[in-house]
Amino acid sequence: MWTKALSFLLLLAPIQALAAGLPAAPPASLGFSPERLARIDDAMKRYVDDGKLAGINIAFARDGKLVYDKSAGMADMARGLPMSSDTLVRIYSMTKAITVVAAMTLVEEGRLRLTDPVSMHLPEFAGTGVYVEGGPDAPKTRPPKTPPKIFHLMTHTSGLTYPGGYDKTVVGKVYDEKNVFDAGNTLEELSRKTATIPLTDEPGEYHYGASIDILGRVIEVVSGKPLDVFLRERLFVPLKMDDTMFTVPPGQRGRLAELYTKGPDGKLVVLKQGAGLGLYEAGAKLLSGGGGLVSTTADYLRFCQMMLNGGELDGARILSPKTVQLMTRGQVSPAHRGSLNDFSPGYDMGLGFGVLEDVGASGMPGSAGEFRWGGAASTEFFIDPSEKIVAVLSTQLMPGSTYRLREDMKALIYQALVEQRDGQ
Amino acid sequence: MKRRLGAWPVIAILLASITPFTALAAGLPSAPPESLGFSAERLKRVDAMMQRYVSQQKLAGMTIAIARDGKVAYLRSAGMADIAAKRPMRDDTIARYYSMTKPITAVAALVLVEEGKLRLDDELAAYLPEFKDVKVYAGQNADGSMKTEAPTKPIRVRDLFTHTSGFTYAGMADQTPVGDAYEKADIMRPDRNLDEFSKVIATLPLKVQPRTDYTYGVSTDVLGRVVEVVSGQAFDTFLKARIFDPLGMTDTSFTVPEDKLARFAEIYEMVPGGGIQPAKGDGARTRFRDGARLHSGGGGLVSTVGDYLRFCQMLLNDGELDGVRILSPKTVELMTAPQLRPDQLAFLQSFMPGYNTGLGVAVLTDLGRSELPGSVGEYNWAGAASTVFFIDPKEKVIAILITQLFPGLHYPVREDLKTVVYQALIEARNVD
Repeated sequence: MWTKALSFLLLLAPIQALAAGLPAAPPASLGFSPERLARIDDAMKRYVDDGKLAGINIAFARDGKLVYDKSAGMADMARGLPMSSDTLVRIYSMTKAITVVAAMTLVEEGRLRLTDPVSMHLPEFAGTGVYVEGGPDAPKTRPPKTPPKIFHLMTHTSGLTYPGGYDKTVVGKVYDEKNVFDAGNTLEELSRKTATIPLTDEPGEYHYGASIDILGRVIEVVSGKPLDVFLRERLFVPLKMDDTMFTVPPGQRGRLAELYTKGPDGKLVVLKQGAGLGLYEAGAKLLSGGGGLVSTTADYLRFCQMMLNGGELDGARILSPKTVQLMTRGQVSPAHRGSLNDFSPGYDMGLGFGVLEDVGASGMPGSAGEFRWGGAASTEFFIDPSEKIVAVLSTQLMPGSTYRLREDMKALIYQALVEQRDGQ
Repeated sequence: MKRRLGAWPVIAILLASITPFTALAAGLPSAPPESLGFSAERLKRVDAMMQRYVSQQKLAGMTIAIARDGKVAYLRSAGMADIAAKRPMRDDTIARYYSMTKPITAVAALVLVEEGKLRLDDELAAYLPEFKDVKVYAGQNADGSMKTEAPTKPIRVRDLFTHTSGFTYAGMADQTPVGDAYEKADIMRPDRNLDEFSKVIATLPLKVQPRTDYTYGVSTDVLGRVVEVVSGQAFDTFLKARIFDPLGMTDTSFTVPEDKLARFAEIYEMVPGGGIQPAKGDGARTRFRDGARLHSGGGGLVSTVGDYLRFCQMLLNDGELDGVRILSPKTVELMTAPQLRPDQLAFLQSFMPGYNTGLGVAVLTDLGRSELPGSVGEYNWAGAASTVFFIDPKEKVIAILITQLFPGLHYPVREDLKTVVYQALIEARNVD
């Protein structure tokens, strides 16, 4: 009762614009209808009032200026911690885009090539074959027609997959048996274990999986630095993403949102184990480039704005515009997209980002060329280069497929955009 | 005072490493990189890349030139043109451009098309009657000899530009009995002239039916012979009169004259297990010396970065440079437009995904699938001694990488050149 009352009060008081990483400007000056923006307040409130989400924050910017940053509900209901764009949340797979950008900085330096075979940097992959038949104890393999390359990792077409919770095949079971994603593994151990597991398909075919974690290990080997150090030096410090990290230090624990799931009775319950929660605990060794980061809406908006600006933010140049352009172009032909278009119709894969190719097929308003990804705890972001919009949604609900938050987020933001630039 | 003097050598070295080379050697005027949208800081990575290639003894020497808007933003050389002779690689080093000859031959032929003397859809045999009865490979007989059949469609002039004639090369990765026959006929013998060359080729079967698949081969050499027949001039004379002299490409020719030998780079090959050595055999030497008769339009030219920059700038300017018009803009547009259907491109896309072929150049049609930064519409080609160039009409950028190493596809020089150029281009014009 007490938390509900508080969350109601919070809705009446918009969160400070200062928090969300970018300077703010009046919505109307940026082509948004203030009246229609109020619908986002209402939608967030409904999610919380209906007990679907403990808390939610949506923030978005246009032309580098913050249009909207509001929250509803709680980051931690038990502690009465309100949700905000400053709340630390587990961004899971939204880590992937960051890891790929970091790898592209090495490509730009000429220390890594997109066409390098993965085994050039991680020799343990030299003999990794493609699954043919047999059980998890003795799967038979054959050599791949082309060895997995760095760009295959970045487009999820390496043939790597995820454990059994995601991939119900024999290969997924082997990931379980080998405890690939155990928080006690170092990245090197993750890579060595993964290399002993058959590829689930020929390189070139889309399969969501451990690719970006392996890419994280490639970064370590090529740069000679642990992934957390490399990300901090290359991205988080120059972009002033002070709240983005793998493990939460004790002094910051109080800002970390609780992770919820929908209980058997439909009510929210706190997830205490599983879901890779161990990754975020002090003492975790695994620096998961595929899903290990904690961040805030405010920090992630700055990352998105850097991409929208063609690789630069506030004078800090991370990538060249032509590298960003390449990363945000579709690279996987329709015949090779596997399940990609089942959960993201209308999208192709760029390097680390899904790229909207067909607005109609996506079933959501938007612009061709928009690029995005989401996280397992129902977080989302998208970047629309045609409309110059960056948007981030933070919440902490497992799994990401529980509600259709991505669809809602896009519908709500674009209905409020009354001055569009991309009318084609 | 003394202290200042002491610092001079350091300053001199510093200046030497940051001062752009003279505009004279560059072929085009130079300008500060920042004024052209390049980050001077990031261009240092080009130095670093060249240094890596040279210090790791992957290449003896190399030169990279980058221009935008008709001005040179970067032109540097590293390493040696000839290690034994202790001659450093220089911006005006003369090198074997091999297949980078092809775009020049294509332009020469298009000059004749513009004059109405040659049509892209004309049958090849109308100019070179020796091809009237050319046969197509159709498998092998029990005794190992080749079965042949008649072409289902005639070879047209257009096919010589797009590698859809059915001709091949000796020593291709997918060597067939046709390739073996090319080898046996020693088709690139430097003592044959183009007429003799063409007549030898006409006795050999085509590898595939004309107008089916892209097959890389001697098409552009045969096109050089077509230029001779249509123009009534020797191919070298035609190129000199119609392209090299008007464009001021004074160091581009089929053979290196005596007085320029001191600028001619040595040709190297990989040593198995690491390092490089001068290429064995003299095939890569005699064919560029006086007395060689074969004017190979597919791979026979030597040139310099400065000369080739001027050729590229003419194309980027839609056919004109410094008031000299070589082609009309619409001809350049056609030359750089995709020509083939996707189903014809398997071979080309096996090493250049995302590309189609124009007339004498490959054209980028799908940026994402190419896995390289760039722009749709960019066109390029490479040479057998690991050289490569590209022209980006959207960003108005030209880049050339010159070295002299066999085999050409061993190091990903095209990928490295595109990566290093575009990472330094921080003011892009075409990112939407």
